[in-house]
This record gives sequence, structure tokens and C-alpha cells, in this order.
Amino acid sequence: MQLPADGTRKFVFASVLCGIALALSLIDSAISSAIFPLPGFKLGLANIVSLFAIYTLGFSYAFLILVVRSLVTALLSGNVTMLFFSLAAGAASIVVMWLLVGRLSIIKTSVTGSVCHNAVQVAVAMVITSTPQVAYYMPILIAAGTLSGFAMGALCTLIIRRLKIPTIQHPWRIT
Amino acid sequence: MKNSDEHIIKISDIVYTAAILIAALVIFALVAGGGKGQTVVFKLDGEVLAELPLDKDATYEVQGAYTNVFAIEGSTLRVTETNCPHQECQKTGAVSAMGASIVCAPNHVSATITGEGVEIDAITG
Repeated sequence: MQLPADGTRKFVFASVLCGIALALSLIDSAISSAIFPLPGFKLGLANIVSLFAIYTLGFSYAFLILVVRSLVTALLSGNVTMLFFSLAAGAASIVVMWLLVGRLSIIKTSVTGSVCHNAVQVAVAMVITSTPQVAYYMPILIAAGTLSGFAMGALCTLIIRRLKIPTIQHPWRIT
Repeated sequence: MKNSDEHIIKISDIVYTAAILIAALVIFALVAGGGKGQTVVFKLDGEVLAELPLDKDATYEVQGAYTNVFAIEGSTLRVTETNCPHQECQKTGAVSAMGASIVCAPNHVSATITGEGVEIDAITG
């Protein structure tokens, strides 16, 4: 598969990724509301798309996909509080993953991004509900998110290798 | 990294993930693992409403945008009745460990179990 070179094709590719991220995000909120007591806390399944976009499209497209999927997920599931959780956690996760992308393997990047995602979600929950006690849940939530980050990273590695999608040249990557 | 002779999951990845998991569980054991709680602190919008002992059976109702009815029975805390939108607080079930809390986010209400050795920075209203 050849990565589209011109702007329109990249844009269409990003839109498709956004649709996938949206579907994953909705499944994610359905699963997470059954497991975790905090509303708006998500397992971060849609971060696989952010990771994939960082590797194939770049930071700006990844951020665009994040903003669109957060907005539409919050509107579709009727829970606007989720918007702040998704945006803050996703943005922090994307920044961390972008910084690590040339240096660590995909799985390690994904795990670190997932830890960052969950930590920011707990921080936002602490601010919004004004209860610092929510932080007591943080270690267990981070552990659950780490496992999902590991699985997502492995899946992303598999996809990038099997489909032979060329990754973009990051500024500090040597290869 | 794009070499398909390499394994997809390398040993260093597993070590990295395990280190993070262990760090998270160690922090959990240090902070919230020790001992049973003694008092339940109810907060609405960040202000302390009441503190009830955990060993005496009681019910406590909090009126905010919605109504939450908490019940302390048999040294556990749970929500028995609520009319908030998603009923997450009721789905939390019973908690009894120190540091555990039940939160009703739409109502801005939280009930936390505290005990000795945990500081409460609270302002009685």
C-alpha cells in the first residue's frame, strides 16, 4: 500500500482513520462504563488510531483526528463531560507519543502514552468533581490502561509491518 | 523496527510494561492498602457536609441537583437510592477500604472513607 502523497489523499486517509477512531471510542465508552465507577473514564482503545496517525501522517493530522473524534463521541453518546476528559487526555497522550516516536519501539510508546492518558483523566476527574480522593483509584486505573496500551501497541506494530505502510520521516529519527 | 525478522513483542517491551505495572501496584499498596477505614466524609461541591463513623449503621441523604441516599451498614458504605442520570454511584456497590470513595459526578457529591493517618483538608461549612 502506498501512502498517499498529496494533500487531498492524506486528508481522506485521515478521515477514514477518524471514522475508525470514532467507532473504537464508542465501544470504549460502552465497555468502560460497565467496569469503572468514574463516568467519563475510558480505557483508551482509540489511542491506537492516534498512534497510527503519528507514525503515518504526522502530528497535526493526529491532533485533528483527536479533536474531531472527541467532539463527535461526546455529542453522540450524550455525555458532554466526556469531552474534557477525551480532549485533555488525548492531547497529552499525543504530545508524549510524538516525543517518543523516533526513540522507543511502538509498544513502549503506546504504553507510555496510555499511562499519560489515564493519569490526565484522573487529574481532570479530580478537578471537575473537586474530590482529591479520586486519586486513590489512580494506580488501578493506570494498571488497566497500561495493559490496554500494550495490546494496542502490539496490534499497531503488527498492522504497520504487515501492511508495509511507510512511516513518515520524523525530524530526529536516524533511520 | 521495520525489519520483519524481528519479533513483534520484544523482551524489552515486556520488561518496560511490567516495570510500570509494578510501580503502579506498589504505589497503590502504599497509599490505600492499609487497614479498614473509620469515618465517612460526605462532600458536596468540595465542602464537607458531615462525617459519620463507619461502624454504626446509618443512612444519609444528600440533596444537590439530584438526590443520593447513602447507607452505612455492616461497616460498608453504598448508595441505596439515587436519581442521577447514569447511576454510576449506585453501580459502584459497597466499599469499605480506607481511601475508597463513591462519587456522584452529576451531583458533585463524594463520600470518602478516611481513618487515622490520612489528613483531611476539609472546611466545615
